[in-house]
Amino acid sequence: MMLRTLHVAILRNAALFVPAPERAEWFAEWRAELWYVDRDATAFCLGSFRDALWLRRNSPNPRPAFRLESPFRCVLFLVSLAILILALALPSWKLWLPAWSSPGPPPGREQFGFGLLGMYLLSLLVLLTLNPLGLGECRANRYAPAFLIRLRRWMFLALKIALLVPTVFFAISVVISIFPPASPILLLGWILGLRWALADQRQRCPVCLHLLSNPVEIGSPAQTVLGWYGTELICTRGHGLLYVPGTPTSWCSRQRWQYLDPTWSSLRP
Amino acid sequence: MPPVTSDAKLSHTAAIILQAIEAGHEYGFSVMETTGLPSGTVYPALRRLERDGLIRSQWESQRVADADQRPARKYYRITRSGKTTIEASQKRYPLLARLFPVRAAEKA
Repeated sequence: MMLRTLHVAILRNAALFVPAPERAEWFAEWRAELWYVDRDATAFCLGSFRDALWLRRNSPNPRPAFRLESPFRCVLFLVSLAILILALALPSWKLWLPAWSSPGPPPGREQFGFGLLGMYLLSLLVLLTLNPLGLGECRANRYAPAFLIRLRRWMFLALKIALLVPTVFFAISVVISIFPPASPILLLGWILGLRWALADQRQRCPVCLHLLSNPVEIGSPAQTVLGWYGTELICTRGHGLLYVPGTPTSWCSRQRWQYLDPTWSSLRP
Repeated sequence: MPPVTSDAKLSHTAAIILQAIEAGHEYGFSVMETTGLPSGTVYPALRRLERDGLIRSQWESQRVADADQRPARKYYRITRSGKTTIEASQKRYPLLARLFPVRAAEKA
């Protein structure tokens, strides 16, 4: 009886990985099958994790609970996060500010500022060695929008980075309760923050700045010798398609954005 | 659901599982016992075969299960595309048809 409870508990834990709409049926099937298992029931139940993870990976509607789809929502989230972190870091600031404003020997404000700038540049350098900083190919054609609209993409990226840099700085100071935060941890935090900003930007439409959706895998590495294979994403507002290569090759090393002409508009709802 | 072609290529494991279902082993645990494959292989393979339209699943009637005092099972049955695919797989893996001869013979 005790063992049976343990087996059901294993199944219940595995069920957490199954997408919510399919979870009840998935659990019912595994529980029914368990009823018939007369030996090695634990090994049988542990196999359910592989099944649950397969379903999680291959679910037709893998909708994350929280998605920063629109640029407005993304900026709002970053601003809210920055305000929250700043509010939490304020007590540490209060301890530091009197030391900086008091007369006497200079507390090294300039050195501190240069140190931060140097560390920030170092984080860019480290990130550059880990992965390319580029946002992929986005060649303008006659269907491309005006220059000012295309410029918004860069302004949005700059705004995200501008919000992330102080947020990460103060977040680390809050977490480790040291002000200013220790250099290696701050360096790591900035690298991760910049990496996220770039990865997020690569997944956005350069025109409307919304996240791209409906990823479709094209081709297969096992069946393609010299052909292209990778993932195609689309802007649901019909601005274009993004092709992300499965494996970077000499003829297609970066993701490529293609603006769509007006004939595609008939396919949009 | 992706388009299914009659010449869809199956891995050896998937072909064995499809052959087992064709031979009459219509639920997951029965496929496990017949093929000797672990649950972590059989069930994801069943999902994949169903997604590709080679098999379809159906829950047994609760009334039938209640009458036998056991939980209702989910049965898997081979589809028309599945039959075509298994025939192609038997050409690719000639020993496949001989794996489950008794029940296959009964079905025939």
